[in-house]
Amino acid sequence: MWKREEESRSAAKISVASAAKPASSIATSTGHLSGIESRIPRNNVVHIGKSVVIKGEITGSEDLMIEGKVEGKISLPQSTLTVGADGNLNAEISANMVIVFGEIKGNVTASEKVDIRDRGTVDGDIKTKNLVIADGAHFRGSIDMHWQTNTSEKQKVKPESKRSVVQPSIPRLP
Amino acid sequence: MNNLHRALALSNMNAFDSNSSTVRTLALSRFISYVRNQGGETILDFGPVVGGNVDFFDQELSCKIIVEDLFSDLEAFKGAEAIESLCRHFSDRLRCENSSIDGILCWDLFDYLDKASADVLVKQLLRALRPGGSVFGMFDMKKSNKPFFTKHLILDIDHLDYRTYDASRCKRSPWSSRDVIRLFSEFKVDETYLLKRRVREMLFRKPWLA
Repeated sequence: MWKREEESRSAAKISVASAAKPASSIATSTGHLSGIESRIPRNNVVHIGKSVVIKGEITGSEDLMIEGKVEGKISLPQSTLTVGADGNLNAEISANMVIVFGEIKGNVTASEKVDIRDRGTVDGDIKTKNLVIADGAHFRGSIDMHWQTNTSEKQKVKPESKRSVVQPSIPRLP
Repeated sequence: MNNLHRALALSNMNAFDSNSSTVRTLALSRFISYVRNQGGETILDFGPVVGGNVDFFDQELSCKIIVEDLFSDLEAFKGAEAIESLCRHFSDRLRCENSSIDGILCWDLFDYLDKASADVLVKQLLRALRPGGSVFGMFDMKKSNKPFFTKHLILDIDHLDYRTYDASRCKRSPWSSRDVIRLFSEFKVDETYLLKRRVREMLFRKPWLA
């Protein structure tokens, strides 16, 4: 049972190399990830190392971890893009989920979630359903969390008043 | 039951007051109601991004939020030519189109600006706001010699939590009411609240026939 799983993992790693198709040559490192590794899923993650510079377009269906520099366009419609602490992206990004420890300059569209961690930087417009911004993160741009819903739906969703939702919680009596 | 609820809520507010970094806000609820009545599609935040605030406005207004951390811009302008360069910077800083914004959160930004650059910024606010759009600003009435900026976190519609962080600028000497009214002469001063902590919260609205 365990062996089978390991076999499938190694098979996935091989297929991963073809996921990215940059204009220049890429050296995808399968070595150790930095401390961030523990916080991201280990399976099927392509790792672009610190010394790698890519100019062009990246598309794929595997999760991608970028520690290097990317300029251009990244499209991972069903996968997670993680920008490591040393990652520096100047790109239009489209993914299922985007986690930012490093720096992004460009617009980000994520169908599921954008998560900007402490010291993560995004300079561009974000379109997503869920957004998490940690204390210490830096962001400049616009946030649109209703980009998939059309105007009529938005009217329906818009609450009359959500005052009760945000009122302070009532403390328990001793 | 209602009385009990009120009493408990009141005791909760008192608890808030005893915490030095949590303060009451009176203008925020009005700002939200104005923006909501306006159709509330886009708001502009001049403060540093705060995840909780983004969630709050999303829940309250379901609107698009533009974050333009102008406080970080201020850090870039120092020295003798700072005023002139800041004026130039503000004159084309806002990327938004004319009359495209429903509400602008300035927080205490004007406390750090000289009159010339404040004038330029106010003109930009007027340009960006839709007729009827609101501006939320805070004006400190105390002098301070410590260089810091403040991050305001919205706890709920009536309470803010604030955290200071290091900066290279101090607040300028406090704006007098007359100066603020002159500064926003092309706006309608809609609400002014003088709070116990010696801060004026003010709401301005762009007239319909501006």
